[in-house]
Amino acid sequence: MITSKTFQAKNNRIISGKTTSMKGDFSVDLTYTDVFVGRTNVNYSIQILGANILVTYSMFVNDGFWDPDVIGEHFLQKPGNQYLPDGMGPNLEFSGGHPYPFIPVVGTETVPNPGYH
Amino acid sequence: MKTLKIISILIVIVGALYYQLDKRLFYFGRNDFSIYNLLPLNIKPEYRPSFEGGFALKDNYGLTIAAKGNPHPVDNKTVLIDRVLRYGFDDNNLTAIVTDGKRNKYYVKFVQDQKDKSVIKAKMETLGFNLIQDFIDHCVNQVQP
Repeated sequence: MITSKTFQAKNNRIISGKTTSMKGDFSVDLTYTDVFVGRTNVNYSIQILGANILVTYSMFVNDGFWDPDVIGEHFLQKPGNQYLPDGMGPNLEFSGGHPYPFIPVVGTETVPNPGYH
Repeated sequence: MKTLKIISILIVIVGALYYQLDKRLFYFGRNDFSIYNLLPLNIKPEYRPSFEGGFALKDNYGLTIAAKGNPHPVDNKTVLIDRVLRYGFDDNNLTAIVTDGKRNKYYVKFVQDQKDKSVIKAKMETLGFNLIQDFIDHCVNQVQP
């Protein structure tokens, strides 16, 4: 995840002081970089520690092995029906499937403060 | 030969219709092709299911600027966005109406940073009548996700 080009590009924006918000999220598509299908979510938060900033990343948050019925999701989804993605819920699961949430991985880095206040 | 011509014309027509539909869905963050830059400041809407935080507005680099959990200063406190209710835009500006966890409504205006034009600055205020009027007057196009 952290060596992917997408993650590095976002990290560069964050540590160079170019974010709109001190806390937020982004997604990283790992389909072509790892044994993984689709995008996953990363939360970030920036904490000012005097002349430095502490950036905390929580990776694989609000994500899991769930809702595999992508055809149903794409073509049959309507507000309130059973093809609406619901994470751990019963929607978009195949018979006998056991959805599970990913365990988030937390990482931090401390860099000089580029101008956050 | 005639069949081939008809099939080719049909493919072009269906492709054009699909493109037009996908372009409209961009405003709700539900487009399939990531080829549009239809909003000022290159802001991109993104549809997400509620368990992933719901609808979000992102900058050109994919970082959220208005989404569940984004903090923005209001007066002397920091307010965490809970939900983006609607947004509006004209040629140069984009504003959004958001709520916090207590369902208080706020008005967020996004502007380009004067020093670094790739950076978007947000100015968030408690929503009052004058700001509702401002939203109606300046946001020619309005979108309710």
